[in-house]
Amino acid sequence: MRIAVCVKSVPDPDYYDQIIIDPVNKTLKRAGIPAVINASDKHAIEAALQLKEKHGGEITVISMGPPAVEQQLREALAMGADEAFLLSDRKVGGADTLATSYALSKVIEKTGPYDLILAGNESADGATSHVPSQIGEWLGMGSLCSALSVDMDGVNFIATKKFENGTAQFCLSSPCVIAVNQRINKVRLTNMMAILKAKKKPLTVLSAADLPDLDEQYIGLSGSPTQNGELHMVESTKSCTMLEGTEEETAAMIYDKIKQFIRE
Amino acid sequence: MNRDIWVFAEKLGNSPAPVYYELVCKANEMKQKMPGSKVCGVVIGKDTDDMVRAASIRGVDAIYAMDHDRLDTLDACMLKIAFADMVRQYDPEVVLVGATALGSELAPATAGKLKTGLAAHCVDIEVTEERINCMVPAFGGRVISEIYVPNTRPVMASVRPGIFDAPAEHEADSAAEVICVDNSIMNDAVSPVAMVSFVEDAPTNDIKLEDAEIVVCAGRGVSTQEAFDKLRALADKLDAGIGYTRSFADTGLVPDESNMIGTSGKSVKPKVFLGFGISGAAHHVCGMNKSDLVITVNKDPKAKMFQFSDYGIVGDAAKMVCALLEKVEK
Ligand SMILES: Cc1cc2nc3c(=O)[nH]c(=O)nc-3n(C[C@H](O)[C@H](O)[C@H](O)COP(=O)(O)OP(=O)(O)OC[C@H]3O[C@@H](n4cnc5c(N)ncnc54)[C@H](O)[C@@H]3O)c2cc1C
Ligand SMILES: Cc1cc2nc3c(=O)[nH]c(=O)nc-3n(C[C@H](O)[C@H](O)[C@H](O)COP(=O)(O)OP(=O)(O)OC[C@H]3O[C@@H](n4cnc5c(N)ncnc54)[C@H](O)[C@@H]3O)c2cc1C
Repeated sequence: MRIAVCVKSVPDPDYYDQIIIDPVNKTLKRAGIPAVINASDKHAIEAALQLKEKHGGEITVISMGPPAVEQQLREALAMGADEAFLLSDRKVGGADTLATSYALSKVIEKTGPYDLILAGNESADGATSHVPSQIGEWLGMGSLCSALSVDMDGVNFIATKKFENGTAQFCLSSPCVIAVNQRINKVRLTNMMAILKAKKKPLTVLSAADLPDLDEQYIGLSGSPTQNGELHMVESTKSCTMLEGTEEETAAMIYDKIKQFIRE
Repeated sequence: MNRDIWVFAEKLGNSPAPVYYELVCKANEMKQKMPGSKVCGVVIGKDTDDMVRAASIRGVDAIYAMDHDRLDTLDACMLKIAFADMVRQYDPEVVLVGATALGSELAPATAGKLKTGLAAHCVDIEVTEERINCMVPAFGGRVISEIYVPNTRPVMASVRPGIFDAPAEHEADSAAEVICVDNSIMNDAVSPVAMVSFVEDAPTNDIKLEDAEIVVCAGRGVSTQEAFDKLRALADKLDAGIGYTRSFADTGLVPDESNMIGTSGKSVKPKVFLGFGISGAAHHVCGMNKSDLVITVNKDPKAKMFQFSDYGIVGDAAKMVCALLEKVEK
């Protein structure tokens, strides 16, 4: 079985409170924030590792981003993936989700065929959750988002998903795209040996010219149907009054405030 | 070219998901600035008569319904075939979809099929002279970007439940025109995905988080079963809904993330938000910062959560829950 896992490199979410908008050129200032593997993609890698352990196979990680993303792909290889591809090209930059999913689907075509394509359910930064089902659409494959379990059953994949009022089980014929919910598994730790071994695993950087039949009208900023207007910061409008005293005293103060407020 | 605004009416139980009413409300606001436009509900399914009736509320000018046996599913890959075809047949200017479990999958799948732009999880939508601006949060809600769709139709936008207001009561309105959309595309539609089973959740008596006037929220600072039991008791006494952060859900004290508050969970705007042991990460705050009165407890005086609070207490979460429970019980 060949499994592809889509992995995005994102600025570490622990630092998002430090992001500011440059007042002059109105762009995001996020310099200095370290890049990490998107959290939900680690769960996708873990799901792939578990499927491989059970059914055998090979895991390929795929990313689109600047050359520095090699570092996150090395980390994915250290987690246990066998091979990595990075699409890095100015031409595909500035893409919205439709253009991102188109470029990724071309990388999948180029490096495949795969039996299963796994992804995280959402990125930490853009967090649209669009990319997996749009990859499915571009490739004409079935897709499912927010899977709480994934297993293989002969030639099909079985996955569950929670809805507002219940849980459904789906059967997806292979090949298909499945985006995993973070609760699907616990991500294993990597050890020193694995990190050393990862240095020798194959990592290929691709450019747009390497992709078969790439239709330029669908790539990059110009191929994106959505465009960005102005950026706004969200700041708190509250000013906090600290309540002091014993637990009993502060509890009484809180309770008064609640009663007052609900009565109003 | 028409300027119609479509609102997807997802079937939840026997009626539209609550977010439908919120979106109809917003669509009517947009309609004021879009002369000649109509607000239309979109029903997709099997035996849709009841849903069509339920979705025909005041403020809805027309209902477009596609009915077919194959549409009796939660498989977005099947539903997108119908949705995209309806859009192609009638060419609305705007399509709004509630970002429920189904909607957040159906919207991008349909936008992909139509090769048009989808603004994700909008917190507001503004109609200006030049364009329709969708306010899309990113970086956990720290930043909001105006997203617009200049060259393709329709403009698609998803909105999480609880973002827009809806009147408490919806007036039924049989005046809405019903258009039964040609469903021949479904006759040989195939999806590589099959829904095998659906197990409905057992009903609970818990107050619905979205509807609660008071929300009690647990962060990782509430880390023991005992403390959480007390917090539940407190919520019960206050008729409050119970929410939590992702780090709290990760402790395993709740079975899933269904009442998680934040970008990946629910948005709440209660009159009173009581938070215990929450650090104040952007991804969480984004789901609660429209609450009226915010009171939080944290053992760390420098916790960021205090910046989003009206009143703060530096102390132990479990102890404060107990003390407050005692007060309320008296
Ligand atoms: C402020 C802001 C607002 C935005 N709003 C919108 C919007 O409303 N609509 C829109 O279409 N675009 C929007 N974008 C653009 C969007 O964030 C990018 O297209 C992004 O590259 C992909 O979307 P995402 O991060 O939301 O991914 P998601 O769809 O949330 O990611 C889900 C999964 O897809 C995979 N994946 C995603 N990107 C990659 C990648 N580069 N390489 C490998 N795997 C990947 C990962 O497995 C990931 O876990 C916005 C961007 C910004 C900065
Ligand atoms: C893409 C993405 C989406 C996300 N979506 C969500 C979401 O929807 N909702 C969400 O909540 N999170 C979400 N997160 C996670 C979010 O970034 C934070 O990690 C999370 O909100 C932190 O939860 P917390 O405040 O409970 O835990 P922590 O950050 O660990 O904070 C615990 C706090 O409790 C205090 N504390 C500890 N012990 C005590 C005690 N005994 N008494 C009092 N105080 C105590 C500490 O001082 C600390 O401030 C998301 C993250 C990503 C990357």
